[in-house]
Amino acid sequence: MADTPPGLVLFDRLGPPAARFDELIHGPNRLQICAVLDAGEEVEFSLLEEALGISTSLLSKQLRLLADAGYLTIEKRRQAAGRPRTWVGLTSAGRRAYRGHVAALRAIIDADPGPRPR
Amino acid sequence: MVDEDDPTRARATGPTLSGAEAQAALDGARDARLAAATVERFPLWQDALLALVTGGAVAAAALEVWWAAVALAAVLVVLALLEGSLQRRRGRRRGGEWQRFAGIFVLLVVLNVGTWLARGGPDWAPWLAGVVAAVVSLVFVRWDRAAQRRALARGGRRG
Repeated sequence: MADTPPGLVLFDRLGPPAARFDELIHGPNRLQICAVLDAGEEVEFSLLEEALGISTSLLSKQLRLLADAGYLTIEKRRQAAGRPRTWVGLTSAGRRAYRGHVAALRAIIDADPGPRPR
Repeated sequence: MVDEDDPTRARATGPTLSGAEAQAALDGARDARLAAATVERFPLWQDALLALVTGGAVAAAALEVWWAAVALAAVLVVLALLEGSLQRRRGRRRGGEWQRFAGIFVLLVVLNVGTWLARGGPDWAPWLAGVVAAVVSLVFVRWDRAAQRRALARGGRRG
């Protein structure tokens, strides 16, 4: 990722992040967006649209919210041929926040004595 | 918000989510990853065609004809450019390129050594080298695509 200094990349790989519930990420679409982006470096807008099965306008709105919080980079790039394509990627802050949120969800599941669905 | 140093406080200080709700949220995230991993499909015939051309070029080069060796180099360069172009035009995900390039590099070394060995063998050796090259390249490309899908589905990163 272009905005991630080498030291932070190393920090990312040192171990599991501290559990931290993030209200912004917890929205269903935003959590799914972060999950897809955490698995790769950058993803094209249309892939997110297809994977999540949501409208262009709704996806744009969710991406803008995450980008405004500094969790995402959104970049429109020209191609040699065809229309420009929009690429989306997690920033290092976004990756930490997402992983911390997942850890918080797991802590909630572990702390709940009730029956688990899976 | 919760104390970052104490993960166990997430339940107490986060929103009042039940374990089932938290599990449902994680399941939704997993389903989105799975969907993203299967959105991009690369048909078998496309990879088989590339493997066939590679195998043919290796067999031709093993016949010890200078133009065949030049043709092999040209075909491999064209294939690499074609694959790169397809990825740029149709690919919708970036990351993990260096592993792929390392794999392709190893593949090319194996093909070249195979070609060199086939030159010193019996008459059928060049054709066998071609078949082996085609099979190896097809297996490698399909394995690489499947490995990418698996990594995406489980949430791991390549690159």
